Amino acid sequence: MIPPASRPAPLPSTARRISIGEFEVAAGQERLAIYGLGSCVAVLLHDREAGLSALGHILLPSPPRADAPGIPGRFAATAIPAMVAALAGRGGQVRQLVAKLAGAAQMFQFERVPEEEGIGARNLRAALSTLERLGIPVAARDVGGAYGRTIVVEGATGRMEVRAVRVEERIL
Amino acid sequence: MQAAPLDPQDLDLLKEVSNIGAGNAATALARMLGEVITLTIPDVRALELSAVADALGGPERVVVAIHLGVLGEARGNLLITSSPEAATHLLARLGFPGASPEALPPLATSALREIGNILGGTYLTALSRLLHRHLVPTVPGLAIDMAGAVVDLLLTELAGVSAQALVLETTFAEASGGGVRGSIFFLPHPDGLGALVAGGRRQP
Repeated sequence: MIPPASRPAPLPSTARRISIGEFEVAAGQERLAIYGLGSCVAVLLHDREAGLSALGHILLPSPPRADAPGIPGRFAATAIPAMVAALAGRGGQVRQLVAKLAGAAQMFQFERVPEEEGIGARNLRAALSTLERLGIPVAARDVGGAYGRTIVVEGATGRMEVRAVRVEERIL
Repeated sequence: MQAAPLDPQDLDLLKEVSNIGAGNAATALARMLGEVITLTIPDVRALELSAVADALGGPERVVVAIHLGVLGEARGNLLITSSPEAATHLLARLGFPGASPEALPPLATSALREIGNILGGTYLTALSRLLHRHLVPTVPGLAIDMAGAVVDLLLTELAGVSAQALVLETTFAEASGGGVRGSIFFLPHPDGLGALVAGGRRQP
């Protein structure tokens, strides 16, 4: 059956899982996925000319202290530059990159913490400011709310599927 | 900073106090429901952060989760989880027959949060007493969503300070097979862990 043009067929579910605090680069038909994204922010960097995408599963805005474990993928301030470097190593160019963002939800509502102070919102602000500093435009985003998301990305096209339990699927 | 690795005696101590805490919580639940609630052997594991969602059945598995932050002389997070089916059984017992986690009436939401408050508070009271550390729960929050999304909040507190998460898990179930079952997860923050186990070691 040919799916309607407005709803492209879902990408096959065989995708490499990007665990919390990690990022990877994909090309061609390779797919990357983040399952069950909550307050973390998923950052996709896509280079259309080079046919490359990098997907990061970022937990926090920046390292909380100098002796934090050396895992750059955990923090927006360090993960995004590391993703740019990884793309450059595969032939990507920073001036060709566009970004797509997903996640950054507030899963539990707390009376004392308004949504804009929650970890999801702070992750989003840190990702946006890091991207701005690097001169990478944001092409699309599906962020916030109080629900989890699963993300599947295709390497060559940078097409991003966003699925949720009670919300209709979106394609970015 | 990496938290100093705990020796096997410390892990046994945490397992024991977690078991007693969960036992008291199960007794509180049993009184409310008028049913016998049994516990599984408690489990203490140091997991990679990426493996914590797998301990809840996988990152895309939908769970009903009540979160309580732990403050006081040691910090951490409590997560009380059940499957949507088990939560439906529990809600029916609490006077919400037919309430499904997909569309919860506001009063049922309050009831689940209150159950979390009672279970979490009882668990922490036991830990406080056994470890001689004052531990206070925060206001409970409820989420019904993918396990991966639910544990993000707990992992963010650990991500800046530790490569791994120490996970204390105890599972409870209605002895009659009536369908009420769930798990209590306690993730102590590595910064307070030394103080936590030191309080237990002082015991006669």
